[in-house]
Amino acid sequence: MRRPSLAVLCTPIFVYLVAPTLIVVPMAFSASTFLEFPPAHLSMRWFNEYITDERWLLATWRSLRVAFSVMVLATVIGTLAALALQQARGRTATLLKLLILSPIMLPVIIYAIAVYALYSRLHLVGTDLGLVLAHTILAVPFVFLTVTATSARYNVLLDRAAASSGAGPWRTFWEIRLPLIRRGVLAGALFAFITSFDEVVVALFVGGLDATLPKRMFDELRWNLNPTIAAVATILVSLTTLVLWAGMRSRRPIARES
Amino acid sequence: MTTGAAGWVVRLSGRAASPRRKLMIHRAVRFQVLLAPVLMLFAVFYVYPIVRMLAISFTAGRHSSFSLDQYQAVFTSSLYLSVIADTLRISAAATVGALLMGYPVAYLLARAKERAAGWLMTLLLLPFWTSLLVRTYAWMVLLQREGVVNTTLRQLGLIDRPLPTMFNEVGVLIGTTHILLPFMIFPIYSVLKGIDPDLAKAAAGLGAGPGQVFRKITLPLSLPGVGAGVMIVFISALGFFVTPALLGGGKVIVIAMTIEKLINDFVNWELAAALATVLLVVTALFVVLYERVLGTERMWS
Amino acid sequence: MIELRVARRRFLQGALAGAASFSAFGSQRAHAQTQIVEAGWGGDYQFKHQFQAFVEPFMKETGIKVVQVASPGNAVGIVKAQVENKNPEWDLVEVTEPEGLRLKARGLLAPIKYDDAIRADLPHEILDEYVAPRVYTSQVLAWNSKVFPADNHPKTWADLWDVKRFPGPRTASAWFPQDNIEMALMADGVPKDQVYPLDDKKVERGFAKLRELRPHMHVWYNAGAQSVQLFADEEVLLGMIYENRAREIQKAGHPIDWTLDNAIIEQGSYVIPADSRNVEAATKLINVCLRRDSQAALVKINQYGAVNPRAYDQLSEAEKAKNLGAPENYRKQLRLDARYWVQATAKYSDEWESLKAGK
Repeated sequence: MRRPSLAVLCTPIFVYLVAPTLIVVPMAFSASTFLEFPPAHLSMRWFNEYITDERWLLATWRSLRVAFSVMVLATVIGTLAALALQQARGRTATLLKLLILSPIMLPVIIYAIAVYALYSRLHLVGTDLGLVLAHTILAVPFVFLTVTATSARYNVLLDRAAASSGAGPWRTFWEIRLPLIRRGVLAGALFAFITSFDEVVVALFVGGLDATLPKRMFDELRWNLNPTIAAVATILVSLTTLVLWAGMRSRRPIARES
Repeated sequence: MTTGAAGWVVRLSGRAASPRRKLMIHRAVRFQVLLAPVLMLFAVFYVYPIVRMLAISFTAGRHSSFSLDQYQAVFTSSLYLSVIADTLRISAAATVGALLMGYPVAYLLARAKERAAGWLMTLLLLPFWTSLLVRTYAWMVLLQREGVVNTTLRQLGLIDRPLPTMFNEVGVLIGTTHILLPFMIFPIYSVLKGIDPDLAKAAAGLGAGPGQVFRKITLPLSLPGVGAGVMIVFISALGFFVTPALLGGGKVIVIAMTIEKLINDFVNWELAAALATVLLVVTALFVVLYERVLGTERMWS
Repeated sequence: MIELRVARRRFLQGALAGAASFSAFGSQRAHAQTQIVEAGWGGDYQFKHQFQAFVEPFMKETGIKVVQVASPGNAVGIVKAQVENKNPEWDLVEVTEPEGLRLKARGLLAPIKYDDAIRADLPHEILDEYVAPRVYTSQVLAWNSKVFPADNHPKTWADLWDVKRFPGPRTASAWFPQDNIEMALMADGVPKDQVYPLDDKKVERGFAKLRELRPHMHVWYNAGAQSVQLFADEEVLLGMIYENRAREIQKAGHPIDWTLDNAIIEQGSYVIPADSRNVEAATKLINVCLRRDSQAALVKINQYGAVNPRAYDQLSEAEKAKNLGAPENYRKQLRLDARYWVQATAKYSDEWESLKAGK
């Protein structure tokens, strides 16, 4: 009896949540240079602008390769850390967990300028290496969380059983444990990729002259504001929707297990 | 098990080790090997720069020794104090808004049947996965004087002059709350989902009405999630830069914007570091407060 | 259809360029001998107009490649960081005149050698040894000409404060108190020729006047392009914006008009960071930019004012009449005193931020 009214209450909230994400799509097809809603005439010109502008493409490419590197690095480091600390107890372990998770708890501007100050001295500003490392710091906590969450269900006895059958530690990990925590690792990898790909503030400071896609978008929002941004945004939203939809389809059989 | 690193350690120890001891050494080594990458990375690229920044904030210039000049400048400046106050205020308001809107959604999500829950979750994940910039841009389109919101309301005859929702604190709040709302919903949802439904059934069986069940059982049990959500949202809001910069019209100044200006326009590292440290301390205080109120272990659930 | 084909071809080109840049892995200093980096405020003004007017001719004449990058707003900070950390990235940087003079005062710039031809053409007082002139721009009073038609539109800065006769949201530039203070003083009754020299009392008077306007200031814009958007969307109805932006709005078909009377004319400048490895090449580009034909081209392409007065010899009367830098128009305006603002910008920055925040 209560549920219909709850649903009614939540509907405007869902509209509030989802509408902004969708509104960029019609904007991208507007023929006019200026923000116009609803668009009076339709055109693909902004998609054309994006695809034919070397700077936009370079920014996209840079974001992609940085995010990919971050994904690999953060997933490896974060998974190892999660496995190490999963069974650990005691004050050291708690402190270490706190340390590893703390980047999420810190307003990112603090980290951005701290690392910018350091990088200025080390000549790492504007380098891919510097950006990857900084983003990895931001991404590791997510990997740590997701792997820890799925690891929690992992039964340590399985380790012992494997060991007593003669399997070495590496083989135990690879053939028994990893498949079971695979979902956590993959989720963490996805989080890591998105964290880096969408990251704005650190990239603004240490990204240097070669923009990442978010930096370019931010600059455009601040300085230029033509619907090319809407076109880029539409592409990003479409990709996100695709990934989510694929995720939903693949998850259904497993969802029943949990 | 005399192979590998553990074997090396065992041989070093010079005596025949018992199997149990070997296992313990093996575990210790593995523990350290697994942790080495993350510790090295965090030490050099996380702890060190932040500590260094703290140190810079306690100097008066590039080659100076210890000095409290920067903090004096911060705490005697009406501008910086009001920026800090405004940032706290806006963050608190965004947190309250997110809580008021987030709790019902989390509750709905936790109670929904599987298929509906799947769809609702997707609806929720879409803005969550969408870039912050895209969503801020969308609000710029929506909240303008001739934007979607105003033109729709005007066509519906509800207003005849545009609402002042853009380039002011209201706009910043609307945008910030929107962006942080999923971060409030997820922790609450996850905790609500974990509450044993039998508890509610038992209470109902003993004669409690739905309102009582909620007040006495669901709500208290959901508090850790609420706490986590509040903490994440408030702290994130404190550090927000992009959304206030774009939606505030230059009239809403939050601490992250001031820090950015000090570094990029005035290259005053020391003062920027001091402001960042103040922000850090406020954050830490808040985390400690949360820990006191709800207990450390709960934080990591 | 054709668009799509072109798009596909360009996409491949772009992808190849991206792959090439991947191999360079972010370094722009691969060929220090044959390329220079020019940093500017981005957008069409830099990448199309200035490119056409003098960057492309320079590249053709000298064979030196110019890489144009956009870095709006942060020039001073980046140049300072670059020179102090011995990290030369930019060879030539677009700055406002006060920013250039600030960098000069800190010893962060390389000296510029002007060609004899340039020395002959330009008045010696604008040929600063470290801060080269590039173009003139003007901050003008602009208004929406549909809302404020010919018989009732703002004519003076004081009208910007007249919310009864000219109601509506206003805008002005956000980045520095300069321009805003001058505008406020003129609105407060100070005749154009008596605005300078500025002193503490006058600046405080300007701040007080600006505080009166603050409740009606809808937005302080961060960049010229934003001001274009604001007028086009009717987010603001009047304010102080750059003249060539007003032109851009008009060209796009939106109702706008403006006046050069009592506008504030200022210099856009070039500087060379002290540690640039290509000082000679950068200097050459500056000299090319200041040539009569380059300057005339700038006037024709996007209505910048020419800093080289002889450039106007190459322009028709009609072209001169509408250009902000032509002698007859220059006279109507107040030339910004950049030297004053070198020190004053930092001094008044806190008060300026407070004013914008409404405190």
